[in-house]
Amino acid sequence: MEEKNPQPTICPYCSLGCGFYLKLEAGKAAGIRYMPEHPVNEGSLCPKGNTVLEVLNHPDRLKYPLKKTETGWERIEWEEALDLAAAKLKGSLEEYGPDSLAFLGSAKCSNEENYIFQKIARLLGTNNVDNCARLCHASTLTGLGKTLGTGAMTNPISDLACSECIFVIGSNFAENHPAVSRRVLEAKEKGAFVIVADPRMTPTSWLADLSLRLVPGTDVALLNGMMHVIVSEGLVDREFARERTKGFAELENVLQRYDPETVSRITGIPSAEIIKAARAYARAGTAAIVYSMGITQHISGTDNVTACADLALICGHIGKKGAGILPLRGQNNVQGACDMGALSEFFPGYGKVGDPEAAGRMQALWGAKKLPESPGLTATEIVGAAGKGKIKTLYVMGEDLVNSHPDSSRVKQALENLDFLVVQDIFMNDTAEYADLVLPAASFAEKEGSFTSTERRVQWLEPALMPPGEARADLEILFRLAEKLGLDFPYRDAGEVLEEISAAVPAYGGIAKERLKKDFGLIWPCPDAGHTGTPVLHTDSFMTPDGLARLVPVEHRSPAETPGPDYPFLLTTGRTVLHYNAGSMSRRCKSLLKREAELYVEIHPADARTMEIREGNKLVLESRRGSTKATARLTERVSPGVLFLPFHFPGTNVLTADALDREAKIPEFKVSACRIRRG
Amino acid sequence: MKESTRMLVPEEEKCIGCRACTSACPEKLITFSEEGNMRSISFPANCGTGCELCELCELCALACPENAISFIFPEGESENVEKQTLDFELVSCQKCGTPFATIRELEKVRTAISEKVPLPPKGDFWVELCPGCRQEVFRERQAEALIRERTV
Amino acid sequence: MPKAVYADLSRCIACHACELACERENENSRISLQVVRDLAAVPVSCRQCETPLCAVVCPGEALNYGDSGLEYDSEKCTGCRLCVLACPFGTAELRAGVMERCDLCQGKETPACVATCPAGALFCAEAESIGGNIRARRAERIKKALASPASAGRRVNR
Repeated sequence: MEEKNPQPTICPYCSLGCGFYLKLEAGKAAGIRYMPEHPVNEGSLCPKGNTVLEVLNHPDRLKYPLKKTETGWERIEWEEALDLAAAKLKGSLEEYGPDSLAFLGSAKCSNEENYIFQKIARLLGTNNVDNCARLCHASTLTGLGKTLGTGAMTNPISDLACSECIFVIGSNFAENHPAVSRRVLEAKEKGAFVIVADPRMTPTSWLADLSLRLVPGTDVALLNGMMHVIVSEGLVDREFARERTKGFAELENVLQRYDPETVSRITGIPSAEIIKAARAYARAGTAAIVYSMGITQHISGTDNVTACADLALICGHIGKKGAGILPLRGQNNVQGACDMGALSEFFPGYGKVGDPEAAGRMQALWGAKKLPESPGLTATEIVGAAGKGKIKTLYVMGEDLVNSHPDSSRVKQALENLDFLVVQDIFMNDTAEYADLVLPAASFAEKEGSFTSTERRVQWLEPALMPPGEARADLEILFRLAEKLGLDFPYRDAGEVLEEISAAVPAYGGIAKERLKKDFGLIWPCPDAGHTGTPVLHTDSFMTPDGLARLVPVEHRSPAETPGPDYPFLLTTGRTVLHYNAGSMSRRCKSLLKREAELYVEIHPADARTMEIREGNKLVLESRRGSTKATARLTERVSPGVLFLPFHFPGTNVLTADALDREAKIPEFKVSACRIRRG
Repeated sequence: MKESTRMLVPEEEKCIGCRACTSACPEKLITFSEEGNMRSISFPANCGTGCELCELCELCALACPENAISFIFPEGESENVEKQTLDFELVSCQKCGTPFATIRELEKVRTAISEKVPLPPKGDFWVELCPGCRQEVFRERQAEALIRERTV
Repeated sequence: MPKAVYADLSRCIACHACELACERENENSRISLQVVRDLAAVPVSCRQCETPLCAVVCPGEALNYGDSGLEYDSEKCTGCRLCVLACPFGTAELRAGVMERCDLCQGKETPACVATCPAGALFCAEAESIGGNIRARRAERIKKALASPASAGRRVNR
């Protein structure tokens, strides 16, 4: 371990990749120093970042491998733990075949860890390897993939400062990616026009010049409506559409039906505002679209993303500084986990499973005789298959699927149905409670490796601390597991794995440990050692085979479940600034918990009045899947008829449905039907 | 039997009921309670034979902003003194109605401040608000213009 | 003029980072953020008054003010709470029996709440003219923002 104090590090929470320093005292993380020189956060840090010491030093940290016995958890030696894991994997493999195995990688683990993780799965003969990107941005991969050729943020976050119009749809960045706010505010100071489309009024809406409160699940209609206005008012960038895209005529055809009045009826937004938004976006010299899970987590997730791309393309707002599409990803390495092929349908570098050429490349690189040919099961499908007994052994690295997947009761049944479940994590969580074997992992500050932020910035993280007890870096655990499985891996450390990654993933071709350690990393694509990275994508051509973007028309579809007489409320879920995802980290921080202690539900005061609900009342919420309790919070942040639940507490996903987008297989977390009563 | 027979004597006329003595007492022998719009401060009884717990450290007297605590040596045979309790009427917050300070505390504050800065007339004065409501009022005033802007 | 932490409320996003940064550095947060009517967030901390009324009422000489601003010696605090009753902003608080106040993270270049603010809403400046301060700061930021690499420019004649 290199002796540096304070030690530079990268925040383990969201996908922005903010830098800060850890101050060390006697081998412990004792303080934080800000990093004003970091290009993303410029020294700032959100509330969660400010409390990482509470996570690192938490007494609940897993310290020893644990085996479930009839009398409870038993501490065992690493050797025994890994022998057991390997034996169970091999046992299922021999008895039921490779597709009885499944692997869930982690968007919180490094590129190297995810790369090795999927390599183990594939060398064992299955593509049943996925990661939680399936739950947040799978539709970004499909939607931007088919239009632009690659499913990644097109511009760095700092570029937003140069946008003349920022159109935010389905992103509450002020709470979920707070440091984005400083760039948006910078743009506003230069006169940028900010549009925020969100069913809720959030602190992000406060920054808007025009706030569009749409009915949840009507994003395609709004986007098509804006495009209709742009086409009919002659605001299309004809030259761009002609030279750099294909399919304008088909798109134009579909858009005809989306006149502002029709769209107003669907979305609930006054037609004048739709027109105003369309004009502001199209007329700006440079305009950016910022979106997040309000777009992706729908059965129409792929279509929503596609429509965002169509809008940017017909206005030529892409491929320039300040003009692009910025999907804000969820976790610190969700981009990297996908780049590394911890996805059931992609090899590292997005070579399609099933494409013989892509498979051939990996086979040659890995010296493998044969790789599985058909796409594996996605994260959501793995749970379904486990429920049906088709998956026998599941290996989960750093995810709490009981709380992160929809329909928690069904997830629990599926986990109970497994022959063997391994959970590798830094804390015991609700999923680990179902495990047969729990492996203690090192946290971000206790290991080395590369992480790819939402802006494709690959940064190298150096260890600052020793892991607690016998906890080990995920990579080290995987190396030893691979050895037990009889896989011959030559690597000694993360740097050596990254060397192989640069051979496997073209965009990482020039990325190496020593280069990443300087100047806050590199932004991919960085194809060779002399390349300095590519902050802005699609400047000259798109990543499609012919270099042209595709305009793909999409139609509005209603969500899978809509409110009715039995379940009259529309329930939408999302995040809050003080907590994070399934909460295994943030719910262990006392300072965060004392500000946000329990599950609450936002309800409009008018609905509350009708139902005689007062602030602070305990409510029971019921959906077709189950019921949960939450404390009433009366607020006009939600519209009448709409309820909002944050998903950081157990209970929220008891209610949500596993209706999936047919292409991306992402669940529709954003819309379910629900009813409430006083508890 | 201890020699010291000093007795703690709070002076009702001076005491403003601020509770500095309750926080100062290392043995927590001085206590307070609040009920409705009354605050009571209880000083220890003096058994007259020298108290085991109260070493007569005088921290309470030192803490008292009004020099309201003194110690006396009763003449002759010391007599037993019952627990001594002083009662104070509380002022309720003009905004939320919560009793938050004694009349005497607020008078003291008002007098001290008026020597330095001009005070607004009674009835429209932040001293009559509890600290929580003062912060809230300040917040609301600060946010007023912005909220108007964001409501349009 | 004493310096204090001010907020440009038009930038505040209610993220509470200021509170958590302060709490980490000082055990308790000396800044408190609340949202008003779902439409604006206001962080409030010690205003570092030029005539600090907390010091005016302090009987124990724990709080003193002079040319170098307000000085506080917690050793001398008797916990009488008169400062709490004197503070017009309701920011003076007692913790563990003694008054606790914002010292602008003495010893640090910038107070933690200011340094951590993701939206750049907080700043530490002289109290002289708060409005003037916010305007001057905004002007400075705009100047800086406009000097950064130009965007593609407004589209014309399409």
